[in-house]
Parts: sequence; C-alpha cells; structure tokens
Amino acid sequence: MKEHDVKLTLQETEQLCRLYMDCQLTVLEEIELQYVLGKMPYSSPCIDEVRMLMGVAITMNVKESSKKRFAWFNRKTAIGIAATVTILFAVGLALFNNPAVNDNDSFGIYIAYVNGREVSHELSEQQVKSDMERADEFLSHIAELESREQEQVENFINHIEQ
Amino acid sequence: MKQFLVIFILVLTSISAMAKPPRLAVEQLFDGRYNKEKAVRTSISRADGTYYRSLHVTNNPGIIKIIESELRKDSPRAAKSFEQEGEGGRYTSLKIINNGETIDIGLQQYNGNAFFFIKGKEKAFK
Repeated sequence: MKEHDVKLTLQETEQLCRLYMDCQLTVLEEIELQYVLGKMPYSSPCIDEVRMLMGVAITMNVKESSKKRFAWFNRKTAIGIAATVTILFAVGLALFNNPAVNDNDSFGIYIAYVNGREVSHELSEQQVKSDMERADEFLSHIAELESREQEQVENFINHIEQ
Repeated sequence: MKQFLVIFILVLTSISAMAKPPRLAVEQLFDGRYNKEKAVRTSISRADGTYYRSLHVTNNPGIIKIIESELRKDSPRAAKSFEQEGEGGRYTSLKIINNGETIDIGLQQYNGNAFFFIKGKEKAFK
C-alpha cells in the first residue's frame, strides 16, 4: 500500500478495527489495517486495542522510523563533530592564552597603595618593580638557606655513618 | 557510536582538565581590605606575563597574624615549603604548582614588620 492511499478517517479506521475484532477481514485487509495503524496517529479505545493486538508489527515500524531518523548520525558524522569540538576548543584556548589578545597583558597593570592612598601609575610601577626585586632577593635567599640546610643534613648523615 | 563516545569523553576530560584558577587563600588578602590601611603598602602588578602582589606591613601584628593564617591555609597545597628563623627574621616560603607553573609565596617577618608576596607566571593563575 502506498502512502497516498492511506487517507482513512477516524470513523473508517474504527470501522475497520471493529471488523478486525469480529474476524471479518481477510488476511490482506488485516495487513493493510496493520499498515494503516502504524501510519495514522488516530486513537480510540477500539483502535488502541487493535494496535495492542498488532503490537509486534507496530513496534517494527517504530524501530524502522527511529533508524531512519538517526541514519545521518553515522560514525563519520560523530568523528566530524568530535573533531570540530576539539579544534574549536584548541583555538579558543590558544586565543585565551595569547597575550596579544588581552589588553591588560600587553600594557601591564601596576597598582600601588601607600599610606592608605593609591599612588600614580609611574610611582606604582617604580614601587612594584622595587618590591619584585625584593621578592626575587627573598627567593634567592631561601634557595641559599635551603642548600645550606641540605649541606648540613648531608654532613650530619656522613658524620653518623662514620 | 562507541568511537564517538570515547572522543566525546576525551574532549570533556580535556575541558575539565583545562586551566583552573588556583583560588589561593592568600589571594583574598588583595581584595582591597588593606588599600586604606596606613600600616600597609600594597603592590599589585600584571605585566610581561608575570603576576605579582605584595604587602609591606609596618608594626601591625594583627595584620601580620592574618597573613600568616592565610598562608597556613595554602601550605597543604604546596609542592615545597620552607620555614626558617635567621638573622633577617623569620622566612616562610611556599611553592605551589598550578597549570604546570610555579607560584612562589613568601613571608618575611622582621622587627615587628612583614613583607609578603605572591609571584608567578600568569598562566599559573588562570
């Protein structure tokens, strides 16, 4: 049966269903009804009952349609989507980490507060740079202290071993 | 479909493993609370790919105590920590790794004053 043939009204479909229930349909007519019920969205107690009785055939139709619906979603498409997402992610990350994209990075920010007041940009820059030097001195001092301590520990261990 | 799921999970994993800000407790000290404090000299900088913040505290044991307390909160996250009391005062240093970069945190306490700083590559703070 072609799709353009399936133009039954609700009443006609119900009538066919009643005939089916009374076993008055031929095998061919039953097959046609089965097809019609799979295609038409009609619902009534009688139609639903016949649908339930023909449940297997309807389920098959549904499976087929779902297969058709997702037929485009094959492995190649999936890999394509995943690759696109990965590329977009990588480009986004590269842009995010690019200093030229961020104005603050390219010009630099220097803010300083002295005696409870914010100082000018020039003074801030001077203060920050001087403080950074102090931090660097601190870190080299720590490195020196650590190596001295390490040396002491090694000497102690050597002394114990002797 | 399985392949797609594997790739999708890998993408999700890489997104979740993406750069995360370290959210250090010591960073909260630069929320502006000491900007108007006369005993504190604040320096903040983000330039040449370096993130730097420091506080100089002069004769204010209360603030020094708060800094020390915040530093202690971050110490479990440190890949390396060092503490020593010497001629130049008491030195506390933490090295925290984030996004593959090192964040140096230091506190020097001397004669009732303190110098505290956070320094690292900007990438470490993103």
